[in-house]
Amino acid sequence: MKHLSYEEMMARRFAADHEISRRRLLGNGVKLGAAFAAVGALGRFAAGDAAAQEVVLREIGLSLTEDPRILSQFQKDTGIKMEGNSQILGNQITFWLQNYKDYDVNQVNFNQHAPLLAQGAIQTFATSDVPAWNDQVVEIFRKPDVPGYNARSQWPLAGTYTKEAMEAKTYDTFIGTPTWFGFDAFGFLRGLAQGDVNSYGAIFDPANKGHATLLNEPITSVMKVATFLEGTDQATFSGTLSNLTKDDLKIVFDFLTQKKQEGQFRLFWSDFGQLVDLLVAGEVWVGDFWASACAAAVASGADAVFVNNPTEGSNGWIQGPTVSSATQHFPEVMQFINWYLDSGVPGAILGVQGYYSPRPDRVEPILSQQQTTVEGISDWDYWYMGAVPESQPSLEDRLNHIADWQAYPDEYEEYSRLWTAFTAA
Amino acid sequence: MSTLSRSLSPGVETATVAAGEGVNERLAERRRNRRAWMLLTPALVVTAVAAIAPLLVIIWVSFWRTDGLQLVRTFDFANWGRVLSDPTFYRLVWSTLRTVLIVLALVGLLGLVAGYYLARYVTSRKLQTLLLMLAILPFWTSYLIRIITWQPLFGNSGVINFLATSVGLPKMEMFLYNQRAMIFAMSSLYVVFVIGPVFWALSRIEPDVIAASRMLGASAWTTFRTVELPLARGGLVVGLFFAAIFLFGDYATGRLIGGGTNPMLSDAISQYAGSGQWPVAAALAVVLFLIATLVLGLLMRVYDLRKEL
Amino acid sequence: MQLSSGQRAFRIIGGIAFALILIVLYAPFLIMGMLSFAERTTAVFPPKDLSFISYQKLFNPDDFSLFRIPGEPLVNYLGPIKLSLALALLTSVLATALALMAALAFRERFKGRGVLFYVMLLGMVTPGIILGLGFRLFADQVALPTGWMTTGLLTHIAWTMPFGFIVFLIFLNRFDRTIEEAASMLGANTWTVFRTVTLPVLAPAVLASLLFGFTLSFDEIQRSSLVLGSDQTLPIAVIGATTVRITPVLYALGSLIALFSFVLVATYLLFFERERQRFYGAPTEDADSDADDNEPTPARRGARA
Repeated sequence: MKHLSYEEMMARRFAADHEISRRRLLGNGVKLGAAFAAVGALGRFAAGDAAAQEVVLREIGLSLTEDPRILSQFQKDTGIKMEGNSQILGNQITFWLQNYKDYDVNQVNFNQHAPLLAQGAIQTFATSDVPAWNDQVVEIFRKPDVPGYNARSQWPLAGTYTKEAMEAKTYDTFIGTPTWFGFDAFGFLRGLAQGDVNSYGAIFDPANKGHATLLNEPITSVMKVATFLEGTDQATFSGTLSNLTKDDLKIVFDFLTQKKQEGQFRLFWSDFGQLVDLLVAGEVWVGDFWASACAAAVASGADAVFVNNPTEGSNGWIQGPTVSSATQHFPEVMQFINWYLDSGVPGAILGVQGYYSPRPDRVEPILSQQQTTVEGISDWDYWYMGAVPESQPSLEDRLNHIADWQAYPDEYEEYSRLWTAFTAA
Repeated sequence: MSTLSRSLSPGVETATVAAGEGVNERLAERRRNRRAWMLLTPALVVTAVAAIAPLLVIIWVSFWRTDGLQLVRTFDFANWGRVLSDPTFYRLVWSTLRTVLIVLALVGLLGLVAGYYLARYVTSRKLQTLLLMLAILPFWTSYLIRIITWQPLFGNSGVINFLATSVGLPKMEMFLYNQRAMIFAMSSLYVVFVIGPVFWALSRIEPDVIAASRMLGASAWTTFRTVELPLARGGLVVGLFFAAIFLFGDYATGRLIGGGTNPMLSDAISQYAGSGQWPVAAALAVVLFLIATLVLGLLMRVYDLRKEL
Repeated sequence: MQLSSGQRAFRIIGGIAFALILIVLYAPFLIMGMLSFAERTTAVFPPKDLSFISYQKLFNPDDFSLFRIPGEPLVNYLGPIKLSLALALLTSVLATALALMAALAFRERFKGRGVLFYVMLLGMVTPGIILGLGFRLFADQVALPTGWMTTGLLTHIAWTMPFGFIVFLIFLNRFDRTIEEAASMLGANTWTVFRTVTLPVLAPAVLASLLFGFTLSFDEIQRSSLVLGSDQTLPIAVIGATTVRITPVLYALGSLIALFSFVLVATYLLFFERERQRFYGAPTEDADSDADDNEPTPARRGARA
């Protein structure tokens, strides 16, 4: 017996089932209407309750700043809803340049201010629009020549205020408002990493061959290598640590490529979550770890140590909101920035992860109520005052150990090209 | 029947007109043409807006320049000159091609073995269906989540090393953060595309063909080589074609499993685009598109996919 | 049944290869399921503290007291899940409709057919990173507003439609048009023929295309990451969370998604198999009893040879 094909069978079955009638055609019209209604409902379903709010602000940032505990507190305090969109480190700038018209705030590392400003994607604003930016702000962000200020690069002021405000020394116009800052250095796993673990040199120590790592990103990684090379007198640079010249870069990359060819690096890590797992699993022993990643790894059982004040000095950084040049809600955005400093809640949440607020006075009331695991020592004493200096020095102490602040280098394209060449070598 | 059907198609109207065969044919053809274009238009509009236009824009942007922090929207060859004179560019192209070819070779071989085994050595039809379903199913689940599971699976303190150390073997580090690990991971992700098509192609071969070959004294190997492999080729190429499509779209394996130690073109594109250097990113994207077209075109050359359709 | 030594060797090698492939394919899911019950970290195996807390966190993202791992991301996945479902549903329906129309057109020998076949595949074969970046730049040039309903939907349709298109071509090329012609001769108009004859025959293809559209859209990230404006789909929320901490919550989410996909696809495959059996007759466990089956088993072939 010859089999009917599957299609033939189906065709016969359905042809028999269906007869042509006007009623059916009418029915189809109804179905079409229903389909349109369904699409509309689908849209409402996906849009959720966002439409019900009066003013909705939108921001992007790293997940640390998009923490719902922070955003929901803002809404509770002011009635304004802030929708946060967490970005991957490497995607944040592209995303913003292409989407800033749909957003109000970009919480970004200040080392990205230059390209954002140059492309017109953010706007500058007066410090007077942020009342919480007053004399209570730590002085490193208000005047030059205080501990932590770098006279050559003029940072952190140069990253915070516009060129005009810098030249006039008025410091009254923001590129972005600092809301949290910290000190980048390196870390290691106790018991595994060998050599002098107080120097960046541990990352490049042959004893740790095959177990070292660097962040897969040119600006911060190159700066750390430069800090090491200059701090150990292996090189002198004509640029600043955060703004090397082409000749300086050649020295750095010759060193790095040599190390890569010797098999020094296990991998180049790309984000925070990955790094924590790498530490917990003991995949890498030493590298340019973040303080918060070390803390998270410790909480998961790894013996990770963050070196707060390396002999060559730390690399300061600043994060905070920049304002979209296309925002429709400027007053509300200012309210948000002001709240971020004034409320103390974001500062406290970020504070126990090792980061500082420019308004410590607003964070102190919250953190001094929280106890650490050490008897009698509050989170305030621990994180800001240096009550246990061997694991967490005071803010003042750390400001005294800054090599320079992270900035956007003039030769960024060369940084980026050489970094790609290095990872591909 | 076939001539009748052609003159009747597509509608009943043509059947009613008996006279003027030639004119009628042309009229019918024009009507068919018009209807085909009508049906095709929506798909073409979407393709034009969301695929062709982006490609053209990318080509255009690759002729822009960056001047310090400013994008210069010109049309000159400075950017291309810079890209093409950089030895890193050739290293990226080579590492992309090499990775793609190695993974495709592995996936093809594995898929062929598995598909052949399934078609010829699994005797129960129910088991055959079950195994085939099992082999295809993972494709339908989240790629990202499968990728992040790699670390707990192969990591230093992961499952494999837990099992290894509990039977007294030393810890293994080779399954993460190197090129081998990346290729292994990619092969495991994309082998699913080959098994199915190879199996279906082999299932379609008339058993009598094989029986005849064997009766004529050919060994199983000769039969495989001269009869089955040529017939399975279609399935193999279809599988490799889809594997290649997803391979070119892979965005996290190199980063999370390769550990960023062997960047390919797509990684460099993300890096340059991520820092706003669009002209360079666009130029590399054009090259990646050419490589993808080349690889997929070569596969089509080996076997015209449309025969499988 | 006589197997040569080479065939016997292959039976072992092939069996091992197949088993290994299945192990490598399914081990991640097994591990994912197990680690979703870990309380703190997924980096160490076996997990020390087991609990359901990750599932609790998943469904109660606003209960901050549940989130006690230092630096743990508090991500509300429920909104992105809703948006991803809506986008995937819309994408699958629209892409399937467009793909079907295009495939029907390709039954005719019209001018430009050869080139247009390749054009139809462009959305599928162009690497996603190019389309994401390019479409965003293009949308900028023509001031197309970005969002999931506009640029997002277009991109997803362009990506998934070619898969449906190919599925429909496969079915249509095995489709006997004389059935349609018979219906036409009985007086049905083109639309009626399509609705009552063609479409029912294509039902499995329609389902397959919907399935492709849905799952590819639900999982899509490279094209979406730049074109969704301020909307956030599930994969984008997930990749955002992985940058902070890969906590067991992600594994709980992954397990539920995998379970959902498995049920969805398995249901489809079972439906397909049942429809096939209904017309071809049920396959039997014993190969010898269905001698007329047009897909013989190797055992019988071996005997014949």
